[in-house]
Amino acid sequence: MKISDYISIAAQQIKKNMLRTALTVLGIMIGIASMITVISVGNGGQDMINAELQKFGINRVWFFPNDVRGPNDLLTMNDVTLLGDVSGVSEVAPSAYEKSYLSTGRTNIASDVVGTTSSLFTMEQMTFMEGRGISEKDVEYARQVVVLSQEAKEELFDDADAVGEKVSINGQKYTVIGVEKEDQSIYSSFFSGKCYIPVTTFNAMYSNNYMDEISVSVQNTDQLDGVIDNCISRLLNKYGEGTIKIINLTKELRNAQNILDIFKTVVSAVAAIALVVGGIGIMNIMLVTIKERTREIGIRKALGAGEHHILGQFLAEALFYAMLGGLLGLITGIALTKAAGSVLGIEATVSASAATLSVLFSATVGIIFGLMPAYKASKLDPVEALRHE
Amino acid sequence: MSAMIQVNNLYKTYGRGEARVHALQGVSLCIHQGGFLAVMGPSGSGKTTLMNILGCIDTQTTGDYIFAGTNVKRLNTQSKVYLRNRRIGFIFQSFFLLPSLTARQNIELPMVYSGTPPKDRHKKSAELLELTGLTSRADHLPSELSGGQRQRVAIARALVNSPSLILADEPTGNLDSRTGDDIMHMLCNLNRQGATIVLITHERDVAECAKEVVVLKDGQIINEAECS
Repeated sequence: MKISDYISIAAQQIKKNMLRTALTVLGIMIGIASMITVISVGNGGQDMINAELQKFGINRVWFFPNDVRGPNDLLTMNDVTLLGDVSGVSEVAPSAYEKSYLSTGRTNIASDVVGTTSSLFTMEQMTFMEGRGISEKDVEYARQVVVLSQEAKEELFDDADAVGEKVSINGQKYTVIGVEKEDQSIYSSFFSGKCYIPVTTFNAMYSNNYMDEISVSVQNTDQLDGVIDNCISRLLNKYGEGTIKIINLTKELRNAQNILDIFKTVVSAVAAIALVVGGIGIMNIMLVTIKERTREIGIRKALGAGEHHILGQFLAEALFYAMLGGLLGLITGIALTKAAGSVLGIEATVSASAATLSVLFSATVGIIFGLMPAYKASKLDPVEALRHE
Repeated sequence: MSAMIQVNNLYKTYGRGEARVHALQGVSLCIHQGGFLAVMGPSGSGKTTLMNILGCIDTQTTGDYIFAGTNVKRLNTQSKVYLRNRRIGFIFQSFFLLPSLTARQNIELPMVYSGTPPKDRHKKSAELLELTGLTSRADHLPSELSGGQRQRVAIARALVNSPSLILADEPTGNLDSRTGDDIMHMLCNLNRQGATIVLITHERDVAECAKEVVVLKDGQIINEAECS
């Protein structure tokens, strides 16, 4: 007996009972569709949250002088060098803040001015509406250059290009080298609205060599804890307990990820239950089919069908139901993922592995739930089966 | 002439205790190659049980059934399946065609299980459709055929793997007498061409064209037809 013979028998039966086929297939279809949608939307959501978290600082830690117990005049550029030497550290960015007035001669605005280095721009993955960020050379030569926030640029220059224009800060002339682009991320809403100048220029202008914060990012998120412990112990060795305040979001962010994982697991389990229910539906229909076709089985056996032929025939039928359900579920799942993605504003796509997995899963369901009825059919006694009305 | 089938002291018992039924009680018979044996008897005499055992779809309780020199008792399930498929052709009283298959597909069914390539299946089924005069009905479903036509499809199906033995269980039982005569005529012709046939019937005139007749009653043969 050829594969094509099994397929043609299965197709014939399925065509004969269109409504029954549709209802049987529906169970598997819903299971697979929900499974695909959950996995795909879940992955899309996780990717989005991860990207946000990465920006926010899943691989970062902030050090502040502890102004409650010690003097604010604590962290300096020496500490930036000190932390940069810790192995596993990728970037160290100092920030010193002053509230200042910016002026073009026509317009005056107040803004936070931050003295920093190129590392901050790398770390925060800043993008620019025009121009560039602060470079290492700007810091080295203490250039009088400024990167404006989008808000400051709009207030000072309106729609005109700002790069190359002069802005005075505290009465000193600065050249605009870039305008930071604000994106719509959660991160931006916390930290946007600042203007940046080289830290060396800042120190000279305000006669202040102390940093308000130093932030450190690590190369590999997996080593975060170890690297950060090293950084902390270096600073504490230098300044003593209680002098430094540390902000590390890692733990909280990990919790958030765990919650997302739990959510995905729970919803996948629900989808898996739907699949099992679909499988039971197939099993049920196969048992009914075999009961109805007992005489047919008897005839086939009398004409020389072996047990494996009968087993194969009914297994093929169960597999056909399951695979058809899987395929329709895949198509529905892709459509649902697209719809859910656009409603939730998540970039969700069905991965090839999710698609393959779902088809394999439905085939497995077909085999598992088809096996018992098919085995039962194959073991029918031909004499009994022929006598069956 | 050699014995194609030899049955020695066959017993078949169904059920247990009070409900015990002795369907066959010591049946012995013998059919030669090219023979035509009619098994007669009233209903409940064990005819169909005998045929099921001869057709290897049922197993005797005790006794021996030797088919072409092989004791069937010693064969495993798979070998019996092979015998049914290649060496035995069944013709049933109520035809037993598969209702969802066309006449041609029904005829080809045993060849599906014998692994005959589709091309050869079509060639063979076309031959048999012609032999049984059904060429024009080849693509009709059994429900679109008359009783006589259905039984001819069943005969064609029985012949498709060129069996050594044809078992016909009341093949004319569901047909009017004229159509029944046609079917019997066909079986006689097959026998003349060398087919070995066992025919089960309870009509004396149907049994007339058989070369030998045994009569079963209560699971026992009441006239003897010994092997020579």
